[in-house]
Amino acid sequence: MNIISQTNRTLLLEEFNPEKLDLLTLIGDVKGIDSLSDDKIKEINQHLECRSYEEFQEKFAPCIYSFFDANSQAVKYTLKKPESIPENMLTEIPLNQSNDFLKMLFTLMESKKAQGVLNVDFGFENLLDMISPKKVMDDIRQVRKEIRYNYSKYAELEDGDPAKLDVGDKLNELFEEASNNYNNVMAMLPLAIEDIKTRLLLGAGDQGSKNDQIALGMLTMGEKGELKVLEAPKQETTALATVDDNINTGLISALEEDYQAINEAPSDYVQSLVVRTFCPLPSTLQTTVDVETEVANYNSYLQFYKDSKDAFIKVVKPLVEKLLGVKMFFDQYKCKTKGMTPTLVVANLKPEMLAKSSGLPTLHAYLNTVNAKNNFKDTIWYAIFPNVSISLNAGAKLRRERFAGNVHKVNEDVNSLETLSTLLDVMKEYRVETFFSFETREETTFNAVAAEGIQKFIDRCEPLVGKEYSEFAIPCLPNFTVIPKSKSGVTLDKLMTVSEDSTAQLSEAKEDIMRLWIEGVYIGAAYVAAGIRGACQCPEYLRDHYRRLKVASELPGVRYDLESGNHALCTRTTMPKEITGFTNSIKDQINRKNFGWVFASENAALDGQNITQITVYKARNLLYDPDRSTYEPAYKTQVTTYIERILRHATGDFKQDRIVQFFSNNPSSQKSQWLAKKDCVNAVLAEGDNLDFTIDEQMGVCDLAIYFDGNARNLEVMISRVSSK
Amino acid sequence: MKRVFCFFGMVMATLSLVLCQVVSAAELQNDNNDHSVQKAIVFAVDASNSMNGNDRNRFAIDSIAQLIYSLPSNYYVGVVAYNTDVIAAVGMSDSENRDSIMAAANSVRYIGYTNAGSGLTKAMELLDTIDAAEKTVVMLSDGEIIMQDDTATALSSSQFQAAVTQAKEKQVVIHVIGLGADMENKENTIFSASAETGGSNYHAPKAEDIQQAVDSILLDQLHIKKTTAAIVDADGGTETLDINIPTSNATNARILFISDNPIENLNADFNAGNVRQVSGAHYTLLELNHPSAEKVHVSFQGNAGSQVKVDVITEYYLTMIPQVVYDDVAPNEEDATHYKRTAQINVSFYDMENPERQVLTDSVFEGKSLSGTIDGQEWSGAFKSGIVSLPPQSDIAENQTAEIVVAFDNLETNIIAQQPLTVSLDGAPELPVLPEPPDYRPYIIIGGIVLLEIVVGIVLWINSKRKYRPVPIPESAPPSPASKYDYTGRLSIYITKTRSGYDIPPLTYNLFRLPGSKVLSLQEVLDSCNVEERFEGADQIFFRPGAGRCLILTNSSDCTLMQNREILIKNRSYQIELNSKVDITFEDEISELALQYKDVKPSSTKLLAEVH
Repeated sequence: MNIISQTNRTLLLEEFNPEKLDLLTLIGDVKGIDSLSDDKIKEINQHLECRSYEEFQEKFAPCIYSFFDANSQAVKYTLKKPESIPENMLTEIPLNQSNDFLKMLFTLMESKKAQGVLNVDFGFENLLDMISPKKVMDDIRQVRKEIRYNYSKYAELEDGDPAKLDVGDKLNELFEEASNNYNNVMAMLPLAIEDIKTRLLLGAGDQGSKNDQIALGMLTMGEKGELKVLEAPKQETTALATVDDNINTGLISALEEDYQAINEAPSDYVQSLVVRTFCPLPSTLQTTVDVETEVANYNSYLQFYKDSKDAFIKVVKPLVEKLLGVKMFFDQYKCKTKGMTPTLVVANLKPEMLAKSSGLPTLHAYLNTVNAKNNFKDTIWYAIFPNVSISLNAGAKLRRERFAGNVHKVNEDVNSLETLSTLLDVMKEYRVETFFSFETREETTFNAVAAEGIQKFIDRCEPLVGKEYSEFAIPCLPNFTVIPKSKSGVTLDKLMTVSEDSTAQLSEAKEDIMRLWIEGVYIGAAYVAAGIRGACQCPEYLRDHYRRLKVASELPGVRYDLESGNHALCTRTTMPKEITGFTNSIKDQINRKNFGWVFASENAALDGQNITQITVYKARNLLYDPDRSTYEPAYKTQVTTYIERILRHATGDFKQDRIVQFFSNNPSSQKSQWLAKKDCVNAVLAEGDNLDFTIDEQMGVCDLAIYFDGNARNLEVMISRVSSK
Repeated sequence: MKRVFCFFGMVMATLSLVLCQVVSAAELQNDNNDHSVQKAIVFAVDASNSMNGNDRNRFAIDSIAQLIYSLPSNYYVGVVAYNTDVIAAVGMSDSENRDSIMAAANSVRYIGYTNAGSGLTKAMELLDTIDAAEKTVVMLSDGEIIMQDDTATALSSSQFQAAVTQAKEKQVVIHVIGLGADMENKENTIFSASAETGGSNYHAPKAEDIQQAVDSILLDQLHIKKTTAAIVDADGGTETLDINIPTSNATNARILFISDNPIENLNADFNAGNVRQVSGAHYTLLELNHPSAEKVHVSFQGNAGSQVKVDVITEYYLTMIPQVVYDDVAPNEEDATHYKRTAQINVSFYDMENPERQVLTDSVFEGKSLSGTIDGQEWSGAFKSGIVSLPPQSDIAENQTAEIVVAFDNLETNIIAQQPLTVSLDGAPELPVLPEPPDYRPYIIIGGIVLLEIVVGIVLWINSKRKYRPVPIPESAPPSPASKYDYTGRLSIYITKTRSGYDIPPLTYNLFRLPGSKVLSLQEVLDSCNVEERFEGADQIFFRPGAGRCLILTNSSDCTLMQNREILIKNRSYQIELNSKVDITFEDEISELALQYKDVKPSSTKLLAEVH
């Protein structure tokens, strides 16, 4: 019987959308109760449990709010819904795949993964400009093409033809997508910028020549045979009707109508902009443009676009980093046949809320319900605690600031070590292993670790060592870099100037290049560590990665040690390599004490193939063994937990006689069954492991000794004596 | 009796009694929306076709900006543009919304005839919409009233005349700026408006001169205080300037850049609470709210050959706070019943938005003379450390009030303050009659009682403190036989609510180290965890070890104890199993804590014993 069907349910201690329900709210008052009802657990799962990034996106709908400030003439963004601002003045921007910033980051990670090049060689600029008006316009061009194609089909088909309705559905969808832009001046901005640019720089062409006013003409031969370009007669009147076929006309009126219907305060300028964007007209329609006004408009649009994009990115970055973390957690589980999929229970609140004295009994009640029952469906095995503050004050000298330098501003959104230790104290009672990583900044990346080593992390974790909960604390490092700070510049476009002959041209001056800096985007290592560990629990996942070895299909990978043999190379993270590797002295430093859950970006090959992903270098928790001066591997804790849980279940809550049976050499005993699967990759007891027990009759304690390759780990359980005797 | 009086009078004469009274700011709360500080101005501009010739660069429109942005915040402004009829009429806008005026002005096109009659009538209508102490119209025209035919012209003229008469009745002052050659003749109908309403006439031969005319109106007619910080001849490159705002702490400082060409790439470096920038074709305004530094570093780019004029307009929104110091002298006359009282009134000035902040204390104001009236009588004084002392008011026999008006004309800044300031002056006190020798007996009695109360209080307090120490369990209450069991496990305590609202981190109390015979109170547990918060009733909740590694809990207090959705009844003992939880709400019905009774495994016991 498969008693424990999952060993990778993970509690994520982070807030994503304050407007959605969170763990504390869902649990409610726990006064006078020790545990929660099944209904409550079902409700919590319904709201907080996610099995994929898409499900997470749907359940938490992360978003950012924007409103316009007339005083500063700027758009403001905020993560928390401002309560004093009326709904109609507030725009909610969902952070989903159609958000250009998030889309850009996803694309960037995918393409980095595909190319397998290091940060230093990767062309970040090529992808970063995805948020520039030009690329936004490119996307629209695609939509435009489809609209045009579908509309022409729609017009062709007869009324009543069922196929026409299908095309109609498709058109509705496309118009919906396009109309997202109508009602939103912010979304119209890149359109307007590109539109003005197209109209003003019409003559510039690809020759790179100066932009003179153009007059369309026809190539003819003169009377004496000389070549001439004659100016074509302009058709200024009723141009709409005469240019192009009926399709254009129909489409134009459809767009106009749609714009008028949707918009609350329609403006002629925007209407013609929408039409021009989604249904470009042949240039014979070109009427004279007021170059100066248009250039001024263009410049102010571009400036505003840049400022608002800049503000948006600054505000949204912390949230986006968290979203990327969640995505990476799920991404680690790449498996052909899905089995034990890692599940995430998102607490959706700040850890310090949970660590308050008033929140702890609530957390106790929850964990007591899911972890202290002989039903293991909802058991939480891991927790993710990202963004632990790393103090950088030490050694910072006060000096005169001769040049503008980095402002080491105290990151206010980080979690303190005190919060972590308070929560660990609770987690240890329910044997939840907590992956924590440090705040995401340049100082905690591969680059920094490669240069400075890991001493500062060891020092920072010092307070957590030698405690009862040390075994359950797993420090993960270094953090992953999506965009390095030094390569985070995005060129949006250039400002325009009016030249002497009053034609517009893009300014070549350096200060006129509109650039913004994203300032580095990172992913907390805890997400990836929990993700890869969770993935390795699944027998199917292991089978995918070990074709030639035996994998027991009913056993979880609790004993799977990522450090041993070439496990790290077989089961790699999905993260692309970032740097050329750590120096030997830094690796010595890591190996000396075997500290932490450390990722490595090393050159390695498996079966003749170069590895382009980041691998796990160390997989340890903070339980320090002073005899061998080393930190203990993380898997030992989980094996102990697993055996304890199975033992409790199998022996009817530690009945003495059944414990004896459990460990007996009878082939049907649990111990014998485990030993029989010794040669599997996911064996609970691997080669060299053993289980032993002694019962202290007087104390009523059963001392279990689990030998991991000779090293004993002790587990005590209170036995229940047979009462009838 | 008489001798005693004389003696007392002498003492009083030598030691004159000084009373001091400060009128609180609250009493004199001024409302800056009050009409007495509000003023209104309408700019009526001719937008007829002829302006196309006289004002090709639309300097007239820019001069509207120059005028309205130079005005202090207490001005309501409006604009009327007229040609064949009124084509734009916007107003009256307060200082926050002046941009809307400019938006309207900028949209004006020069076409059609000159219907000054309708224009002025509309201007008067706009002025009627608000209540202000001073109303002004500035008219800008480049010619006589002229319409498509004589009838229409006559109608417009009569309308104009009627509007002028109405203005005269309502004490609205009309200033006229004539533009171009047609307006050289001062006999022009339009100029008559100023003559009749006490306004002034200006003639601008060229459009560029309008600026100067507007400046004159601002300075000479409206008495707006502004300083020209710089006049820069631009050479096309980047110009940098350091502009001094001599009067820091101002409520507002406006820096107005006016040029005959556009000003580009304006950068400013300053310290201010808030800032606003407005730009037009030929002007740029920087409005600094509560500027905190005296220097503003500005760089901009002007077109080669153009001239940029930089004006600084500062303004203060003030509350005037009087301070009255009385000087009482015993009179020489024997039959006098009251002292002779002289009141010295000092006025100091505070920011209206932030009444804590005294203003006008800058060095530029030091020694500046001020004048004004007190109860209609003129006075003059000078600033000394931000305070103006008025001449002493003598012979104040009875309670009275004085109305003070201060004229700030001598200061180089615009002051908006509620006037007049009313100060109440207290009448002179009566001369004292011979006092009876003081009777100390009541004091002794009261003192005795107070002392007794203190002693009783201390005794009670000591008693109450004692109460919170664990007391042996009363015989009637829970039975306390020496337990034959041992303590095991530990208590985890989560204080979920406190009276003070402070968050107390989770606590752990190891029970297994205690001797089995000990009866433990919750107060003892909290004390040993160094909890300083008081929990009423905690001293009446007791623990002792029980069978099967249980803990026996007895509650003799009025606290509410809950376990497994059940309330634990008072004075009854309950077995608390390992790994179970009790929630306690204390007697104050606010403080709450959750208590978990946890197991400690033998190995941890050893570990903990080593630690301890």
